Amino acid sequence: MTFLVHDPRGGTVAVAPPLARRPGSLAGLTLGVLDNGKEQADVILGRAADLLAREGVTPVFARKPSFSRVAPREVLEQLKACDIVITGLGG
Amino acid sequence: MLEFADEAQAYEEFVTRYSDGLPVVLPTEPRVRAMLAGTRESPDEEIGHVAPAGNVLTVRDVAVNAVMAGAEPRQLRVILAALEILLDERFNLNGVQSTTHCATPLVIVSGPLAAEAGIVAGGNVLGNGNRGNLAVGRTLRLVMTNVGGGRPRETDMAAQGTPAKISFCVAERLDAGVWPSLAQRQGGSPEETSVTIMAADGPITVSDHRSATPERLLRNIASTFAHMGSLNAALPTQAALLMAPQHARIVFNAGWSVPDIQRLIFENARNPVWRLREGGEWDPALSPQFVKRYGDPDDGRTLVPVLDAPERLIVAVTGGDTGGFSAVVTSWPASLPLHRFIEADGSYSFPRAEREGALV
Repeated sequence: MTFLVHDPRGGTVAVAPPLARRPGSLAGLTLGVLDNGKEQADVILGRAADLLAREGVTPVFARKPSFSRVAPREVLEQLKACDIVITGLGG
Repeated sequence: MLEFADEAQAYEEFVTRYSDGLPVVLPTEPRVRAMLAGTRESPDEEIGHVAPAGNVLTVRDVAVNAVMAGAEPRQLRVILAALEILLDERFNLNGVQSTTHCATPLVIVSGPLAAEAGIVAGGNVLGNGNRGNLAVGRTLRLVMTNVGGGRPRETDMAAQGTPAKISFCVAERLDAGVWPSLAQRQGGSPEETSVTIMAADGPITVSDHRSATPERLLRNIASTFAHMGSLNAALPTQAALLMAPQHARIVFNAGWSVPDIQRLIFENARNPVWRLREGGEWDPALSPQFVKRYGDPDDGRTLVPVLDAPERLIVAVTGGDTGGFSAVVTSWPASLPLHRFIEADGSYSFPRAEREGALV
């Protein structure tokens, strides 16, 4: 005898997409850098981009107009063209 | 369906994993079916995707969480209308769910359907003892955590949160003998009911038993809106005033209208640039851009309102007849307050009315 109840998470549970395969080498890749718009995010991410550039990536910088909202479509389109993307929070 | 060895195991699992921390009613098939009697919509009707998890929300899923919250079928129409607002892109649920701020939906139900749905506007309206109010607000929160995945300390990154995140729902007093209701001011008929939602801070009580004039009373209320700790001080947007009937009568009996209230709060709930520079959320890079709309950002005497415009103040009369206590509710500025109508004859249990509020 079992006890059945409805699943409160909804019938169609979204599944997180699998993580992309890590590149073997960074040389020659385009690096998207998404700044969330908070103070100092540009400083932290700029430093990270500088370090990664030494490995041969070409950075492309993008910034969210508001850290409280999702990135606008044009920003996502810009990042889609990149091989890899890093992001992080300022504060 | 989820399968458990017995009811006790199901209960333990639900309180631990799918609750706000309080006991919940287990959503068994007979209970969910009974809840669905509260709407004419098909249980499989999809309302949308709930951010940030993005899971699909159906009418049945709403009923499941409503059962858990202790709601009655008669509240389901209001809950569905409220959820349509939460899933509107302009409400920015993704941000409301994940911000470190305490943001949570404040629900104001205005119109005759509120009483039919057991959502009350009398004494202790923001407190305990109001089953319908608590169940509506709690259902929204349970949908946000269970279907939307907005779990505290996982994706809900609130630093402290607020008790209003358990439930934050009021009806408006239609019998206070003052102005037309919020629903009527939104363009509805007296027979229609509107549901208005703003992403809110917790309420701040304004005590005033001395003011005999609208000016004195509303300046007191304005000073509370202008407190430096609110995001609204640095980001002029919207706020809500839940006005006690005793306060409303002082203003109404002096011949003032709701637009008069909105104008006085807009003009008086302001901080000078010098004060904003000395504390709070003033951002030297961004704030001057906002301040330009109201005056010279380099002049310390320039006054900066907490409201972007007078009509951005949502005014609703609610609470018991006696007592000079109103509630000031400031907002999370990255979300737009919205309203929806529920038709008078109940023919739209799922209110896809043409008229929907861009602003309140």
